[in-house]
Amino acid sequence: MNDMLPLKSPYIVIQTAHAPYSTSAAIDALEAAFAATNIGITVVYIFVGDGVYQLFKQQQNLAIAHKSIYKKLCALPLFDVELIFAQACAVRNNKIALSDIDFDVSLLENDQLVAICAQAQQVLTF
Amino acid sequence: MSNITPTSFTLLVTKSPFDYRNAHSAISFCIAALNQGHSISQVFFYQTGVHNASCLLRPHSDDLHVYDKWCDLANNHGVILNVCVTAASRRGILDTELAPQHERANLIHPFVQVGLSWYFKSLQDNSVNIQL
Repeated sequence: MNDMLPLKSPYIVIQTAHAPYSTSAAIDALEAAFAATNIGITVVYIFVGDGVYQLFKQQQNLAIAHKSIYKKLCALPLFDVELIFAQACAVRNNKIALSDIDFDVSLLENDQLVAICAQAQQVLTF
Repeated sequence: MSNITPTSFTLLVTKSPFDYRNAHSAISFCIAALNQGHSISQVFFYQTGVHNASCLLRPHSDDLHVYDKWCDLANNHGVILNVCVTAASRRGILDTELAPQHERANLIHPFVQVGLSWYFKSLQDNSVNIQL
């Protein structure tokens, strides 16, 4: 997906920066993305910092009686959120394996992350 | 000051009024912007920011009454106060349509419950977004 950079059409960035279950931030970010694409806004969705923990496929959500964030993330492309990235250093530091994830996530080095945010119409962080 | 080009701002308030300073900052920003001739297209309350909309807030007498300040902005300057209906109902902030009984509603005028898309429509109108 990195060959799509720089992005041509106007877009907003939604950064999700929190682990999946400690707060509602992960769900809030997802719902914001769905609302934006619902009215035709192009969304670039980026997992940054602790937000990359949402990409753990083996989440044991039932142990805490919570709906699976990972399953909801799998719906991102169905809601026209197709530009999905993860901060490379956070993925490496937290040893997240992106290879077995059920949707396309591309790594962004920090300079690429800055470039994408710099060109965005808006940057929202949850 | 007269050389400033008027700008339309949209504020996204995401924190509750007592636990964080975000609402205070948002109110201060709105007042400063309006005093300089700018406009506020809407203030949108999301995440725990929806607690700003509860008419049941009872701060101590020596605390800033955030709810009253928001109402002042709406009533005196026409600032639109939109609240995400999903985030609000999850947190027990309910208008008369959603509350089990009318008298138990804690979200009343000038706050209005709307869908999250209302916020993004404002961004499409080239309003400058401030997230707090």
